[in-house]
Order: sequence, then C-alpha cells, then structure tokens
Amino acid sequence: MTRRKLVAAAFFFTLFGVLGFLPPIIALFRFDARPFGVPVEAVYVFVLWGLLVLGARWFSRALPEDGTQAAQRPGEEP
Amino acid sequence: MGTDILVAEDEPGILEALSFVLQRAGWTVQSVTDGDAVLSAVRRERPRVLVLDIMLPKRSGFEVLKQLRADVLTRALPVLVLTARGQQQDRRIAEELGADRFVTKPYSNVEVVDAVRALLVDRTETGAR
Amino acid sequence: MTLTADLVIATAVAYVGLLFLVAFIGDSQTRSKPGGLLRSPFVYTLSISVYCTSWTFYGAVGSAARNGLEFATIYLGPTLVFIGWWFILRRLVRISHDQRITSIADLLSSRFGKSSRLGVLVTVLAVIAIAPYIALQLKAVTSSIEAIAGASEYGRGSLEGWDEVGLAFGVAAGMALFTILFGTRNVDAKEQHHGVVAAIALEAVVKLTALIAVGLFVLYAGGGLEPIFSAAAASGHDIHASQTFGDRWIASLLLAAAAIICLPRQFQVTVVENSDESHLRTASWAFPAYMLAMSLFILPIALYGLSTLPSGSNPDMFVLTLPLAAGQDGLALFAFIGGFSSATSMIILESIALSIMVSNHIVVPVMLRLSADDGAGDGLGVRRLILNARRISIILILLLGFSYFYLTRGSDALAPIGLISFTGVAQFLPAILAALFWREASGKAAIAAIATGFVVWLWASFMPSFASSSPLVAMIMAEGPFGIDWLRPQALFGLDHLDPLAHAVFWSLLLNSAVLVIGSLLTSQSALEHVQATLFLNATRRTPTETSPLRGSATADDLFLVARRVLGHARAVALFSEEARQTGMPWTTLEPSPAFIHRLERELAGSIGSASAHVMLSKVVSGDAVSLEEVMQMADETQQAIEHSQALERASAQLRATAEKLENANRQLRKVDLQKDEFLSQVSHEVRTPMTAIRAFSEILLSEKDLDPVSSRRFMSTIHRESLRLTSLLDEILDLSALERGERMWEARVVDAEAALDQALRVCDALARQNGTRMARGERAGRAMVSADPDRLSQVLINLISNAIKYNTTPDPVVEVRSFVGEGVYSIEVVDNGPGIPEEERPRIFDKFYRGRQGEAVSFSGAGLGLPISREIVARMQGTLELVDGPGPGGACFRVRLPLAPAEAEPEIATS
Repeated sequence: MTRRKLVAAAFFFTLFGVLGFLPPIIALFRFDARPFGVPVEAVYVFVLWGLLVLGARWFSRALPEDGTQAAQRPGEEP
Repeated sequence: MGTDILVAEDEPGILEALSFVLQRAGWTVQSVTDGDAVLSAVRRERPRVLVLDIMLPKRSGFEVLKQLRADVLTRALPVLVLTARGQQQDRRIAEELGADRFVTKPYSNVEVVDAVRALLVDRTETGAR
Repeated sequence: MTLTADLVIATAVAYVGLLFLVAFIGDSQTRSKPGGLLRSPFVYTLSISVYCTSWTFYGAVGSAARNGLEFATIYLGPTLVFIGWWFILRRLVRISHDQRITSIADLLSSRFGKSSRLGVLVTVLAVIAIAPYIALQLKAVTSSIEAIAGASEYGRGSLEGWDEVGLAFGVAAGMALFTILFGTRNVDAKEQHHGVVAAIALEAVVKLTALIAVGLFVLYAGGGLEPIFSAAAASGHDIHASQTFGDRWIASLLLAAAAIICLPRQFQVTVVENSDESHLRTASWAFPAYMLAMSLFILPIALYGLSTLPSGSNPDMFVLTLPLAAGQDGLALFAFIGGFSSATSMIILESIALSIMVSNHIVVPVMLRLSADDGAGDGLGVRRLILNARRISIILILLLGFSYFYLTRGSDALAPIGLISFTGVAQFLPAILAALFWREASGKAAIAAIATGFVVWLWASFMPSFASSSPLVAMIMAEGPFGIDWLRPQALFGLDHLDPLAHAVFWSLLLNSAVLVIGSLLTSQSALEHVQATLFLNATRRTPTETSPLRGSATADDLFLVARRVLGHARAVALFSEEARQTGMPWTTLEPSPAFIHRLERELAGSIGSASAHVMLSKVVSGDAVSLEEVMQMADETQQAIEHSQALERASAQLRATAEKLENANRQLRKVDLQKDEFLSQVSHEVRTPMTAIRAFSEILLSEKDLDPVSSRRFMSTIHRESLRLTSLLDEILDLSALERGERMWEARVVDAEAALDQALRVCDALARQNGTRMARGERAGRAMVSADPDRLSQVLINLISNAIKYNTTPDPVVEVRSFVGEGVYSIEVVDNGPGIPEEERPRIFDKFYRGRQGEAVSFSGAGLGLPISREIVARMQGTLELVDGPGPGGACFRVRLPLAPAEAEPEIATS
C-alpha cells in the first residue's frame, strides 16, 4: 500500500470504529442473547474494542515514519 | 492678349512635351516652373486656360489654385490640374478648390489637348452669353 | 491482619513515600542515563493512563451499577482518539515539540497569535472546570477511608472526631504538600518531569493490578461470569433493561474523546512529557488496551456487588466493600492503595499542569508588566518567582477542589461530577481542532467561542450541581431565572426532552462552535496569528517551515540577562557558549542572529510559555513590524485563496496589458498603413513623372510625321534619360528593401575611407558647380582604414553631399566636408549653410520617402530614399549616420561614424 492509502486506511479504520460505537449500529446488538451469561451488547462492545486495539497495533507499525523524530529535537539536555 | 495657355510644370521633360503638343494644337503657350511664378504669370499673361501641376516647388498647385480662386480677377480662369499621385484624395481636393478639369499622369497627349479645348469652348460659350 | 483506619492512613503515607523515592530515582536516572527504561514507550503509555482516576477505580463500578454499559464510553472515547492518533495527537505532539508548548493554554495562545488574553482565559476556565474533578478525587479518597473505617471493628482510631469534611480537607492538604514536593522542585527546560512520570507509571501498574485482583476475586467468589450476570438479572439488575445507547451515550462518548485531548493533565503527559514521537505509536494501541483491561471487570464487580451486598450500600465503593465483606482485608488494602494511586496520580499531574498554566499565563505576564524596567535582577529572580507561583497555584487549585467538594457534598455519585469537568474542558475542543485544521480561525473568535461555551457550561452543567446544597439554584432549575422559563439550566430554549448531560454538551458545544466559525469569518487575523496558523497547519509537512517572527537586533548582553533570569545562570551560559562556539565568535562580540533569537525564544517558551517568552524578548529585541510582514509572506506557502485571487488579478492585468498591446499594435499598424499609403503615393508620383515624359514624347514621335530630326532626336534622348531615371528609382526601392531585410550585398574589406570620400567629392563636384555651391575643404584625417565596401561608402557620401548641395537655397551656398579620427572612430561631417532642417522634422528625416515639409513641395530628384538607404548602409558597416547640431546657427550637419579596422589601421598609418 502506498503511504497515502495507508493513511486513508487508518482514517477509515478510526471512522468505522467511531460508527461502530454509535447508534444505530450499536443498537443492532440489543437483542436477547447471553453468551456465557453476558448480554450481547456488552460482548459486542468489548469484542469491537479488542479488535480496535489489534487494528491500532497493526497500524502503529504500518503507518509511515515521517521525518522529524527524536534525532532532531532541540533543547534536549545532553 | 496673346497667350492662350499657361503651363505650370517643374519637370523639364514634361513641360517640353506639353508645350509641344499644345502649340501643335494651335494655341500659344507660356510656361512657368514654380508656384510663385504662376500667380504673377497669370496676372501678366492673362491666359485663357491654366494647366497646373500639383507638385510644384515653392508653392504647391493646391495653394496656387486656392489663391487664384480667392482673387476676383482670376476666379473664373479655367484650370486643368495635373497630378502624378493618382489618388482619389488629390482629385477631391482639387475639385473642392475649384479645378475645372483633372488629368492624371501619365496622360495621353490627346487627353490633355481635348481637356484644354473643352475648357476653351466652355469659356467661349460663357463669354458669348 | 486487622484493617484499621490508622493502618490505612499509615499505608497511604508509606505508599506516598515510595512514590517519592521512585520519582527521585527516576529524576536522577534520567539525568545520568538519558535512554533508560524511563524513556520507553511503555512508561509513556502508563503515564497516559493517569486518565484512569479514582473515578475509574471506584466510579466506573458505581456508574455501571447505575447505568449499565454507559461507563464504557468514558474509555471508548479516548480509545477512538488514540487509534486515530495519526490525525490529531500526532499533530499536537509535533506542533508542541516545534513550538515548545507547555500546556493546553499555551497551545491555544500560541496558535492564536501568542495571545496572552486567550492564555489567561483558558487557564482560568481550566482551573474552574477542573475543580469538580479534583473534588471527585478528594471525595473518592475520603469515602474509601471512611468505608474502611466504617467497616472496622476497631472504630475510627485516630480519625475519631474527624468528619467527612475534615478528612477531605486533610487529604487535600496532604495532596497539596505532596504535589509541591513532587512537581515544583525546579523549572524544567521543557516542563518535563521524568521523576513524576516514573511515579505515575508505577501508580498505573498498581491501580490496574489492584482492580484486576478485585475482579478476579469477584469472578472466583461469584463462580464465573454466567452466575454473576444471571444472579444480577434475577435480582432486577439487567443490562438489557436499561436504554443505554441514547443521547447520553453519544454525549459521554464525545466528552471522553474531547477530555483525552483537552484535560490539562492529559495534554501534559501525552504531549508535553512526550520525549519521542514514536512513543505515540506504541501508545496508540497500548493505552486503549490498558483501558480495556481496566474495564473488563467493571461489569462483574458492579453486578456482583448489586446482587450480594445489602441494598443501600454505595456502589462507588464496591471495589473496596466487596473484599471487606468477604473478610479479605489484604485485598481490600491493596484495592485501597489502587484507588489511592489513581487519585494521587490525577491530583499530582492535574495540579502540576494547572500550576504551569497559572504561572506561565497569569503570574509571569503580570510580573513582566509590573517590572517595566528591563530588570536584570539576580539570575534566580524569575525562577524563584515561577516556582513560588506554582506552589501557590497548587494550593489554590486543591482549595478550589475542596470548596467544590464542600458545596456539593450532598450528592454522592462520583461519575456525574467527573462528567461536569469533562463538559467544561470540552469547551476547548473546537478551538483546538480549529488550531490544527483551520487556517482562518481567528484569536478573537476563539476567545469569544470558549467564553460562550463556558458560560453555557456554567449555567447548564456546573451550577445545577449545587442544586442539592443551594435552594436558590434548585429554584432556578425548576422555574428559570426570574421565572424565565426558556432559560432553565437543563431545558435551555425549551429543549427539555434531552438528558441533562447531553443537553449541556449539545448547547455548549453548538454555541461554542457557532461563535468560533462565525467569529472567524467576520474577524481578521493579526500578522503574528497568520504566521502561527501557517506554522501549525504545516507542522506535519515533511519540510517544516521555520520562521522567526521576532527579527531585529539585540545585544548579546541583553539577551543573556533575559536568558539568565528565566533559565538560570548555568543553562544560559551553556546556551550562549554553544552559540559562540558555532559562530566561531568570542562571547563578548557575539552578534545574535535571528535564528539564535528564535531558539532562545523557544527555550524561554519552554519555561514560561510562548506568549510570555515573546513579550519578554520583544522588550530587548528591537524588531520591526515590516519584517514581520515579510516573514508572513515567506512563511505562507499555502495561502491559496490569496494567491488564487492574485493569479486572477494577474490574469486580468495581463489581459489589460494584452489589450493595450493590441491597441498599440493596431495604432502602429494604422500608422504603418498610412506610411504605406504615403509610400505608395510617393512611389506612384516618382514613377509617374518619368513615365509621363516618356509617354508624351513617344506619342509625339508616333503621331507627328513631319518632325525635324533635331527635335525628334532630342525627344528620344529625353525618353532615354527618363527611362534611366525610372530604372534607378526602382533600383533604389529594391536596394532599400533588401537592406532592411538584412541581406548582405557586398563584401566588407579594409579600405581607406578617405579614398571613398575623395571619390564622392569628385562625383559631386559637377553638381556643385552647376548649383553655384562652393565646396569648402575642411580638415581631413589623411588616411583611415575601416571595414567597408568602398562603393557603398561612396554612395552614402555622395547622397549626403548632393543633398547638402541640392537643398541649400541660400544665395551664397557653401558645403563643407571634413573628417577626423578619434578614439578608434573615424568620422565624416557634411555641413551646409542652408536653411537647415526644422526641429519638428528632425526625428523623421531618416524615414522612407520623407522629403521635407510636404506643403513646401521642394523639388528634388530623389525619391526620399537616399537617407534611409544611407543609414542602413552605414549600420551594416557597424557605424552610425546621424543628424547633429552643426557649428553655425543655420544649416544641417550630417555625421558618419565608422569604427577603425582594429589590426591594419595603425601600422598602415605608420607606414604612410
């Protein structure tokens, strides 16, 4: 993927994360199911949360380095 | 009263040819070669017709024509204007200033002779009346 | 193990001691080993988790017990911000590094033209908005101590005689002391507190472990997830039952997302304490993971507490009371330490962050204003003042928190208090986003927007929290101020069907953003604002534009005094020595470059904030406003709108210019057309005249049979002569047109120009005699070698001399020809004593067919092409032909100038 596409992917990943936690999507999970006794909306929230963490981990490595990093920080005491 | 025609022309070749054909046609011819001389020659010689070139030294043919028409004595003098600059503008100016005939160089000798003769006839008829 | 209040307090104090030790070691370790463990991205991540305060530790359980899943929004909001780190946090960190931003107030102040007014506003509002949050921590710590003391069979111990308020005050005082000891030991160059961060990281580990320990205990005690959820459902606590995903869900999600950016302490740890941008990469997933871990057991703990503990127990304290009820005193103590950790870390960092804002944006500017003298002072003055200001503000902040706690002690839930603070700090969000993404946002609009949002917040969110303690507030809430119904704090403009939280969030942020947008559209930016906006927007470009808004000159001495006042002697000396070393100039004669002043400003900004640093340096640097405008232009790469309109303007200017050019060309064409007409009529005249003679004589010869031979011979020779004249006229026309086209029709060679002149004089001699003109012999050069075609040169000279003869109408015509050599140039002058050329005709004398005044109709033989041709010829010989002022009063003087042929000229002169 090109740098631009990666950044765009990261953006939409975040955007769909936001949408996933908002009604109406989240309201889809208000039906009566209790895997392991846990209400399904709670399961949904935590599973999506976990997926977002995994996705963020992938993106944190995939997103490009961009220029000015630690090397070029002025004023740092030696 | 001897002069029929006064020719004002600065080009010697043209002057000689003009004089020759006009004399051959039976008229007496006098000539001048610059604009200033025209006016005095007209008063002195009292020609019946003036053949006037536009490009004259010292005083242009237009200027001469204008002065002739301004003077009561010479107002009626028939004038044949010759020009080498075959432009409509010259012809219009000449007519406005009161030229009676207009001939463009190079002309045929017959053309000039006929024009002069016509002016002389007009003059005669006017005079007869 | 018997758990008493005294033991709890002793443990807390011991724990604080441990933290202090960690902080101390942390500080000294960073000093000796810059790249150590404390600089790892995980320590950075753990320090960010200061977000999880005792609100999380205790309040989340309470919130879950009351509102089910809603507690999760507080962590989902930040999760979303962090997984989208590339778009907001990265910019914030980059900008803050570049600009040496010290706080959120500094960020906004810096972006909006280093506006100190905005800095003050943000600082004051932040202090007010955070008060409930601090109160929340005090309340949590107090309640937790009370919970343990209440449960203890040994009574209150040394707490005997202390009520809740007194205890809270004691906690506040202890926290203040602790924070002062921790956070105000020095004014750091970049407001980074590595020791504090180390302690915070430790606390993050402690609170997570404690919460997970309690969670595992609950799972164990409750027999697993399913029994806990079933039991809760059976006792009427079903998550399904609550309408979770409504306006309140959205509002708190938004608030939490805003808070992770806007809370002063979060800005402090995420942005200011960030020592390496790549750490943000790790935190982008690790911090959400941390919050996920913190949240995993909240629901089981809450539900288990609800179904097992007697009804009426405070759900906020379940984390503590569940182990206590099960007799797990050790676990309870650990849980207490966990809760205490979360409270202390929050209070420490929040008050450090706020105190930095107070000292940088209020105290230092006031001090700068008061000490109008350039005040060298002793080097320690400013530093000591700053430290003291911070200490006092820490006390003030905790006092404010305590006051809020005192005034609202009637309400008992933790989470709503936190949300009030969140709503308050969220008012910074529109301005921050505008700072990052909207170039046109203006400082005035930002001030108005934040103020508007805050007024709404005060009215709709902050004030209602006093309803339980103030009858007046309760009355306003019920009926509106002075009975104005539509101003009721929780039903503004008649909007009464929203949840109060969503209501306050909706109105405050809506009005806030509206004022920001409309205000920015209506107001204009100052130059400095413009520069800063560009810097902020370009921060993440690969080639960041560096600019120094402060330009001008200052002496090194002045700068050093300023630097010493703020940074301290050692750092100032280090800074100046470095500059001296780099420029290779001795200390004393150091001339501060703009770059150095800029660096100095950033260094100072790191200590006292950008606005103050700017003011301070402006006092000694005599910059000029013009240079600022220059910088503005230079810095502004993407001012597309302006450039676009400029491009339009340029285009229309070009159009105008083109139209003008066209008109000029048209005029030129008309002129050329006229000239052409003139030319044609001239050519016509010149051609017709000989033609007339030729025709007339030919007709005579043809028609007159009886001509005498002499006449006919003369007539024929006239015809011949006129034919020749006609031919030479046509030759001239062709010659000129060829010359004008640049065709070369002769060979230039080195010749004696004097010989050509002699030749010309010989040719004209006859003409002169014929006209009665005297040829005066002027001085002659003798011999002059030029590069020319001798025939052509003669042609030019003949033309000039014959003109002088022909147009000389004076009674006693004289033409003088002279030549001379000077400075490598050979000149010939042809002078006559004729009437001369009138002034108005001089410019046109070299025009084609131009022959003196038309009206005068001077007779001459040429067609008016002689001079143009001559000029062209001379130009071909690298010379000039011009009309110059003659020596006498009348007459004309034409001068030909030709360069002498370089090599041959002199030797030949020498030999001759």
